[in-house]
Amino acid sequence: MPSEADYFGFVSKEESQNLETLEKSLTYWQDAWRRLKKHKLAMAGLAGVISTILFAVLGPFFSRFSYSDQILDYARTPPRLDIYEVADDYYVFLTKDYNLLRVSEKGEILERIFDTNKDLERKAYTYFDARRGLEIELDFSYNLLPGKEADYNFTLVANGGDPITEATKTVFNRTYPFGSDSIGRSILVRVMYGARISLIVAFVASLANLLIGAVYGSIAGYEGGRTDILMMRFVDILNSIPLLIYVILIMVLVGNRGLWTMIIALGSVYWVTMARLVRGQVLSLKGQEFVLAARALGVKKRSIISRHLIPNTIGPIIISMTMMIPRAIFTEAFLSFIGLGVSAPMASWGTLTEDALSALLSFPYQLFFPSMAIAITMLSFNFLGDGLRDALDPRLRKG
Amino acid sequence: MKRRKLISLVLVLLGVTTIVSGKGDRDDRDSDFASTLYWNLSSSGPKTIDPALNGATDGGDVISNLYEGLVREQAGVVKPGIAESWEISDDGKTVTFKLRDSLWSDGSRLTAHDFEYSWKRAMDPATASEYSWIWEYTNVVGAQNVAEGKGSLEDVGIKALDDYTLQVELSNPTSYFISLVAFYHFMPVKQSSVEAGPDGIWASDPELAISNGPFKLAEYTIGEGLRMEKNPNYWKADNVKLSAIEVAFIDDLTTAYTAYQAGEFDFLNDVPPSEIPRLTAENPEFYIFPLLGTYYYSFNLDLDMWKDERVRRALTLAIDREKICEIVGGGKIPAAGFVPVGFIDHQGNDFAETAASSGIPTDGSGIEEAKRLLAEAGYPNGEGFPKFTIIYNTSENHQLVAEVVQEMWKTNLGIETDLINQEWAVFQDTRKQGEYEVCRGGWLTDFMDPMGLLAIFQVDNDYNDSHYNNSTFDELVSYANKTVGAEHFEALYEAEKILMTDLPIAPVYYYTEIYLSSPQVKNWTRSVLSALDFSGAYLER
Amino acid sequence: MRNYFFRRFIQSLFTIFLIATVTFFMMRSIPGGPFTRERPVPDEIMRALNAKYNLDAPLIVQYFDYMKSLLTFNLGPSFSRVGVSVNKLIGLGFPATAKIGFLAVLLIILVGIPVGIVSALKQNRPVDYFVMFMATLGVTIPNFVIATLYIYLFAGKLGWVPSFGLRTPWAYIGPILALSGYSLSFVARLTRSSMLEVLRQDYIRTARANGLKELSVIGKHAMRNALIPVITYLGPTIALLMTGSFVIERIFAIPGIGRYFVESVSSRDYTVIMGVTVLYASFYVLMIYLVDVLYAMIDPRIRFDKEIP
Repeated sequence: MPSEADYFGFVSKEESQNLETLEKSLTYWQDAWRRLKKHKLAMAGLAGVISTILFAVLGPFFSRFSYSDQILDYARTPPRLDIYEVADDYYVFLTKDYNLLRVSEKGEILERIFDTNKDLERKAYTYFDARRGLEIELDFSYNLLPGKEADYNFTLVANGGDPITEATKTVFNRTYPFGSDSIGRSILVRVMYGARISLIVAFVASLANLLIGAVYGSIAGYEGGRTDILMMRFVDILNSIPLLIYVILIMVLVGNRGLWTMIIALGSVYWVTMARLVRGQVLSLKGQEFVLAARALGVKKRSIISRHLIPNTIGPIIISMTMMIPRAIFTEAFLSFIGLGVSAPMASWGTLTEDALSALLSFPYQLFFPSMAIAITMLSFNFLGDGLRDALDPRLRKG
Repeated sequence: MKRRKLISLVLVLLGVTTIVSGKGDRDDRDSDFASTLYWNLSSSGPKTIDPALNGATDGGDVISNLYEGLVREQAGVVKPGIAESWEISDDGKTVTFKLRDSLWSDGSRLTAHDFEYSWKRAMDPATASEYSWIWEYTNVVGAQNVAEGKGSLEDVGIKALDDYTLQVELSNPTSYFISLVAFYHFMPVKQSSVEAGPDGIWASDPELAISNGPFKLAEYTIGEGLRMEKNPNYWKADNVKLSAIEVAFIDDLTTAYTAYQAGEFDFLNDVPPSEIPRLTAENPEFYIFPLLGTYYYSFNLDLDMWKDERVRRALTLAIDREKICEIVGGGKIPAAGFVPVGFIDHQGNDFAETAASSGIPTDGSGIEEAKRLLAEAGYPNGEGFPKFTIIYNTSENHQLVAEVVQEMWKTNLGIETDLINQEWAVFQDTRKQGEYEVCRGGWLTDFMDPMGLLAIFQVDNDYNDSHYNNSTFDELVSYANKTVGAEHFEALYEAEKILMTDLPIAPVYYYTEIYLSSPQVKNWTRSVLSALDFSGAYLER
Repeated sequence: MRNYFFRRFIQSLFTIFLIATVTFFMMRSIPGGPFTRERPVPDEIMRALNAKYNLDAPLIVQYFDYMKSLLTFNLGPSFSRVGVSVNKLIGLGFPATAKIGFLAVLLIILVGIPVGIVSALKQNRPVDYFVMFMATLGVTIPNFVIATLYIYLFAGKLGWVPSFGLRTPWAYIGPILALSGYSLSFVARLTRSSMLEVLRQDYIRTARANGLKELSVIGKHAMRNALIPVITYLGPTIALLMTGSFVIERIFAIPGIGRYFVESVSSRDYTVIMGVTVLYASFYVLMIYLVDVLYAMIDPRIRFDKEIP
């Protein structure tokens, strides 16, 4: 049991003065930050966002590969390797395409052992390591040819020894922690570089939403009448023109200047949902007492919108800002598919995901990692967004 | 209370998704399942299935099962179709087809006049067939003029002498003429059907579509599929074992492949690219056929940077074509020259294999020479060579090849490049305007002669995107167009050799085509020009 | 107010006309045409084709011709399906698209809104966390991944549903889930957020303090105001869902009209581009109009006029 003394005590003069001054100097933003810090999930979200940024910015410095480095011989290796010890301290890994790779016991890929003979009839391949004089025979007929049903899919025989049917062990892929893609590039490194583009896209989309969407919507809603009608009909037209035509037109007019063209294309159409949401809110808010009071006091339009209306619609603004981010990430992928934005071999999370889709049946890990990256980032943004909403909502603001 | 209701609602909706349901049983779809072939065309549906108007392979696959030309080509062998026999005059300029007594699917008689009508309709600009350019290569007297709007149909050398004799006059002896008329463009259509529905719509209307092939159209649903049923009036109806073919128009390859694995299809025209290497090794149901076409990169010869032939050769040699084919999969054949494998010359040898000795290495063995050539041209290790852009049209496969080539040029030669992809029509515009440095190209031919490929590099050809200009080459190709046999092929060999010395393009690989066919489907075949043929197919189930 | 909505209706028609006009000229200013092929069509044939489809007239004449026929609801012939009119194409494809779209909308309203409300009432409890987590995943995982995985799992591995098409009632589940996933999550989050905001308002506290039943507080007072952002979002979303999705229809092989939105542009099938754009624009403008009407019904304080009393 704590004693009373734990609860009550004399406040020193300094302390009381400090507190007072602190209270007085708290601006809207300081107050918001103070409340945000108390929000545990929001702080977790913030940590997530910061670590994603660090991952994108610093990650590539720690890798020996660049996003475009290819080792064609090491194509399509998964993040986990079933390795077989075919001779003393000689481990191999067999890819789904039946390429034989020599790996270390710890999971580093050392070299490819080339095939010398492929017998498609018998489903048997022969590989030969000339340096060590090691001939490895692969028989993968066990579950493919009729009448041969086995517990294992293939056997490996080294220099005529006993057939090996079971993996010696399963190790992490040290060369490509997230696996490699169809032309032997590191998916980890590509996800790191992809983060740069996708985070920029997320930033641009949010900024366009906030700066164009929220402001546009609140002006339309507040002004009302003919201004509202004209502004919202413009939004309608922008929203109804087929995106593909619009994008091709931009591409033809501006040419592909990489990221910038993409930012222009994305930024110019990406705020319409936000504009409509904010307008709806403002329509209902502008008749409320606090707005009337502000008007009566002669507060300028601009201040009414920025100080009173926008802060009071912060809920929908933050929700749609965070929810629109993945849309933006995939729209970017669509744009670069058409040829607008960053060009191959640079890839974003969106393009990595889309490219991996057709490989989903056999190489699901290619889809998993970029998708995970998007999911983690989204969760972080959402947590942060929730906290921000609570922190920024003027109705929740206390002295 | 409210909450409980809501939760139960959610549970119901979730439950609905997991309730086991009977899948669409085939027996519901069709009573004679045992003799019905289920085939996915791997496209969202052909643009048209009017033989004269069609210009795409999906339409061609359907047409060659609905119609029958004068001859039918199966796996490279030309067999009599509606023509029982044919005679070629001594000067090689007159071909006379003797037609058999045969019927249309509605029971009316099929005559040589139907062919005369169909062929003249096909070349008539009023029909506006995208494929009418092919008449230039038939060498039929007057046909090219008509197709170009300059001549009259009266002057065309196609004439039905009587109901069963069709005579064709050629301006030059043309060795491939007989095999060419097996192509879907030359299949007969019935005048009364054509005139009943405008713009080729008759062909996909089961009421109007009267055909003369192994099957007839029974149903057609836009965007969904079509159904063909056995045509009892087909002249070889006894050989047709299938009672019906159900064709689906599913263009998503993963969906179609999943359906195939679930047993909902017997035959697929394509599979997801990433499955190809594994299927090639594991699955005996997976078929690969060479196509008469080549995938290449064009150098824009108008630019100074490509003036030095050594630079072009260096870039060409620095590409390890075997590695690319291994990565792309599907049995693509590394290109040693421009003319792909599959053309047989006058001595019975494969044209590409014979020409390969004067071609380029297909593996990485030319890399050292490439480095040397580039150094000789003044760019040791690529130093001082301007950075340039490779343009390709949007596609997963083109991107893959471009990425690999980019990396090979960078690591083998030290040459830096950018990649740009463009939407198809934009790309064509760019290429046509010559606003590129290196761009992707591909060419498939529709008749069985190397001419079909080599001719595009004649100076005034519309498809000469490199703007290649070599008068000796032009003359050789023109000469080959007028000759047959040894003279024809000698000229073409020489032309191919010149092309592979000048290298206005860097060939990458020869196209192939893939099919997945259930082991239950027996005796299906295809033509070398890639039309599927189920006329003799049967099912074992 | 009634006068306002009448004027708004006339404006809506004018908006459709503007959208059609802008689309028409933008469409015609991008490279390529309906007859662009790998092997360019010879000039003579091109002339014949252009004449056949009235593409050789001056652009402005073509525009007026098109607008005239649009007034009689004649959308012209399709270029990419030879001999088929755009009216027929839309007539054939729309039922399938609309069925899927309608069911998706139903799912969004019947699940998204209630889930959002529950989540708000149970703020910071496990139910809330679960719902928000699922909603985040719902917007994160793109519909093409949901669709492909669904087919792979339920059609391929388990064989519970057909792999393609809409042949059985069960076949509707996958397309509906994949189509609604994103919007469902969005609506749930939006409802939760606005609900939380409304619940903090004084009048709700007053209502509660006055001893009104919770159900009536939520249903009568809170819901009304919380619904405004939800309705704003739902309006255009309904228009979007009812006209289909290229990706979903392609993956599930549904013979709808959604795929024409992308395919027609790629093949420069001018008449189909215009047809589907006008169809979508009509739906969209109608929904936007209804949203404004609903605003006025839900919240009498809402004024569209310029002068604030």
